[in-house]
Amino acid sequence: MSLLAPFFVLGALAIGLPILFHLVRREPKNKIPFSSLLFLDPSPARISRRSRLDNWLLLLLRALALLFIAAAFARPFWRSSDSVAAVANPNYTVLLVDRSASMKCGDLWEQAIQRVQTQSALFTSADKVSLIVYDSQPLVLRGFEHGDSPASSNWSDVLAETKPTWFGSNLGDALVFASESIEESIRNDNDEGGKRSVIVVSDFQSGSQLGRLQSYQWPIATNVRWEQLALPPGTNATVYAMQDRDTDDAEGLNVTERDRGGIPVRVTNAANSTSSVFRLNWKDAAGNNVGESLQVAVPPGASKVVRAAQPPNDATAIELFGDEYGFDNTCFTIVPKASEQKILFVGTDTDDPRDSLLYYLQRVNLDSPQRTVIVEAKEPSETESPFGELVPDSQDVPLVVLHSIPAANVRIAYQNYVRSGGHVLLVLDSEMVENSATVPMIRELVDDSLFNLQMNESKDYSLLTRIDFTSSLFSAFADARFSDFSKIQFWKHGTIETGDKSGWLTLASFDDRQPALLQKPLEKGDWFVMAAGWQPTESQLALSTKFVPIIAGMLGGAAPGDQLASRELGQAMGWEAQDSAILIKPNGDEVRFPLDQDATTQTDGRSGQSLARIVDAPGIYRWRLAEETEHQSFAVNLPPSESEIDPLDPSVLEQWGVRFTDDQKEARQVTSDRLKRDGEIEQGQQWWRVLLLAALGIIGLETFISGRRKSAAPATPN
Amino acid sequence: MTTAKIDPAALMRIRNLQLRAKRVVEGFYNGLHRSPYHGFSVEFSQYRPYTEGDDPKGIDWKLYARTDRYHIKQFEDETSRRCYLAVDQSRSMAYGSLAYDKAEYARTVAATLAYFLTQQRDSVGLITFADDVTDFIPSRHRPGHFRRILVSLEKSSQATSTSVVKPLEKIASTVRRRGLIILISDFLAPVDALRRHLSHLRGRGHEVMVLRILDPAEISFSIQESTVVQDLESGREIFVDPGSVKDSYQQKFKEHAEQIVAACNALGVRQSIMMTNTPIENALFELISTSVHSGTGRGAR
Repeated sequence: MSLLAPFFVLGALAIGLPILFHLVRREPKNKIPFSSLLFLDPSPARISRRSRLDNWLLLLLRALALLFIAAAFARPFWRSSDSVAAVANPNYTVLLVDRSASMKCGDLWEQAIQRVQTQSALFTSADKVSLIVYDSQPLVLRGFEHGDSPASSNWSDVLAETKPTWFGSNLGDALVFASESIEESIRNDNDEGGKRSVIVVSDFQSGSQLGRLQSYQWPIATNVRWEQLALPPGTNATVYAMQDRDTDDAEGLNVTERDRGGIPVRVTNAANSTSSVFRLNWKDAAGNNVGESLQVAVPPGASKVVRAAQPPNDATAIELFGDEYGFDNTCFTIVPKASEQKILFVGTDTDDPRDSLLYYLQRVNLDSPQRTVIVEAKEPSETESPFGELVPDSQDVPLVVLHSIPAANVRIAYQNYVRSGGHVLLVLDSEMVENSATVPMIRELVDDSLFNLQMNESKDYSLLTRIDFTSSLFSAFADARFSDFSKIQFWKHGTIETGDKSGWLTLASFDDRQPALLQKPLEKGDWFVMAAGWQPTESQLALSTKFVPIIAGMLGGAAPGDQLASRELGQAMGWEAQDSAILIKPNGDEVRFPLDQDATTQTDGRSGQSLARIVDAPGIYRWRLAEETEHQSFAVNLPPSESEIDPLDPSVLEQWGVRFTDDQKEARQVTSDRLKRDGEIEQGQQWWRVLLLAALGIIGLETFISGRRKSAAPATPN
Repeated sequence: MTTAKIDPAALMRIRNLQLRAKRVVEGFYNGLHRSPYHGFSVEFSQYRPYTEGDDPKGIDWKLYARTDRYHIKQFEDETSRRCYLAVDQSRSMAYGSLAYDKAEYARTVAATLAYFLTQQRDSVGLITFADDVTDFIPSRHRPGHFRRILVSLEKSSQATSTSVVKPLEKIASTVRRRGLIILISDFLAPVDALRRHLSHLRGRGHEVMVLRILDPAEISFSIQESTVVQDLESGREIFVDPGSVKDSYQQKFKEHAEQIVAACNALGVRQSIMMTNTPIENALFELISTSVHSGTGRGAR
């Protein structure tokens, strides 16, 4: 039983008053003033006869009447479970718990479980609650549709079954996912929905990604409660081994510094750190320190790039020492191993450098820390393939420059080489053009029966125009500062005719609209045909600054292993997992592709991106496309943003429309809702009428009884 | 004689205090023709032998002719008598079981005496007091002075308790010349202080007359049933059962009255009790008899 206006119950205290008045000593009502009390002594007080209760029945009736009237004013009503259920809409709550790598810090995860325990004590059986954990992706641990009552479920146990992962924190995505899951559940339940809230239990690190919120209209009815987990103040620093190209772009280190050797590493110290001196050490796969350690001083809130000494060949990671929170102290990296590549020149050389193609090709320096490129000249042979018996790997010999007519029996070797990913450049200088065997040879080699070639008769020089800057050969010159080819004059060039549908791409043309450089892809490799020579007797190309980048572009892009050298957790791998591929994790587990679909869904909250989720811990991963091929290695590290563990300012979320719970306003709302609901229930029951009628009946009875008593004993005072 | 006196209840119905006083004094004069005290009030004082240094102008030659002795004939003082009326206006005086209270009665007594003395060409002063002196009018004899006394008497006092000490001290310190001091109060206060200050006044040569104004109910303690009695002065309330306290009250009241009488007698102060239901002229009789008894009638120095 409940009361709508409990304040009026105080009126029942009025019962006590007549009883009290009866029991206390009755003092005479009238006072007589007297000139002086000098000669008067106070008389001892006498107990009046009326101190005793005479009319128990009347007193009882009067008390009862007062009680009923007070109860009627208090508006009592019965709050049955039906009536509560009938009017209350269920509250939809999402417990959104951070399990990103930063939650490995200190006792944050225990704090999170504790916080969930506290929150779950507030749930009622009518509520609808979902438990979602998130790192770079959200994962539903228990959905709204789960049958158990939220009040009786042990949410902290459900949460304790999972552990913080190594992935970064995408808070924006998780909030949107939580909000959408509420909306969807309300839609599915066909319900108006009561209070909608998302309780976020997290350390709210400033490195959380919030980008998803920018494109999301946050629902007005959904409020976010900010359950901040806090760490004791301490130092957190992180180390990141950089690629050399990173340093070129971002850190302003130039090529000269790159040549010094070693690996640039960036040490970042968090803004709220207390110490600033750290030590760096290389580690091998077994976790032992290798090489010399390096001392670095980085003030709090700053980051510094230092060049660590060239690591030993067995080093796999660089580790930072000297801070309290060690989850982000190791950066795995593939120590680049220098590879040797070869450019094969098949043709006859001349003594005069001005007339020699090879002379200028040999002077092209294509070396980098990762590779050494040498140019090897081969005399054209009638019977023997320039590659020997086996078709060379395109990694070892990325380019073949052909300046001769290969014998018919070795042409197939060239085709196989191109098919496997090699590049063949046919240089058609005046010597080749004038050779009548050239055209049939090319027709057969590139499989274009309409290919024709003749010498340009023009006496004037030609320039390169219509350059395809999207091509890898010319992409380096795309900027207007470098796109001036007008200094390169061609005195002699051939005129090429090709079949319309033979798949040739014109990368550059002469200003007489004749193609200058043609490309024809064949499976993994390419044919390049150049309608002029680069030697100074034919053109100024070899002497121009454009020559080296063009030749480098023909070598092809970076090796696949280079592309995979370093990845962040949760980042898309950038390559397709092919069937029969095998991925070996740092702990030795093998993942074979194609993946089992069930396993995929279990690991991943949503479909897709399964490969990114399989790579779930930092370390050195190895993978190979098939059983027989060689392993490629790549390093996987924490996202650098995960190390930014200083707390996020909630106002950043508010700027993007996220609404936070206002406790005071909510309490007022709850109270007003309850009063409204109680009022409706009371209106339906109207017990006060019954109580008031009962009180009137009692008063009538009391009047009757007291009237009879008075008439029976008129002289007796009551 | 008593028939000629005016019923105080009737007198009190006259609102004007001056009229009341006149009424009493004139009635007193009417009856005075038959007064036993007639002829005592003469101007001649006494003869005394002539000594060197006396003014020879004062020698009574007729007596010298008869006795052959030089005698100086002494007359009453040419200055009139100085008289101070000290009227209690404390809250205890507000008690009255009749149609009027003691304060009203005391006021009328004071006005009557003042009028009477004024008529006799005496100087009259007034001190009203409660716990302290509330008003002080020096003794004068001049036109309008009586009026001033009446105005002061009609002022009501806000004070509560009675203290005779301070008024007596005030009189002692301000009234240098000897005179008659008439204390009009109920003296419902401890006697010790009264005794001490009366003796002080007497020591300075003042004549003192005490008029105790009492209500009949105060003497008889006329409360009939158990009730709460409130002290008019302090506001204190006590529960009183008349049956058990009446005797003790009367006993204590009597003892207090006796103490006052004893104190007054010891100091040569005439004291008389005036019940509020007795005629006011009695006060005049008391005044005259005081003069007679003390032997210091008109002309006393």
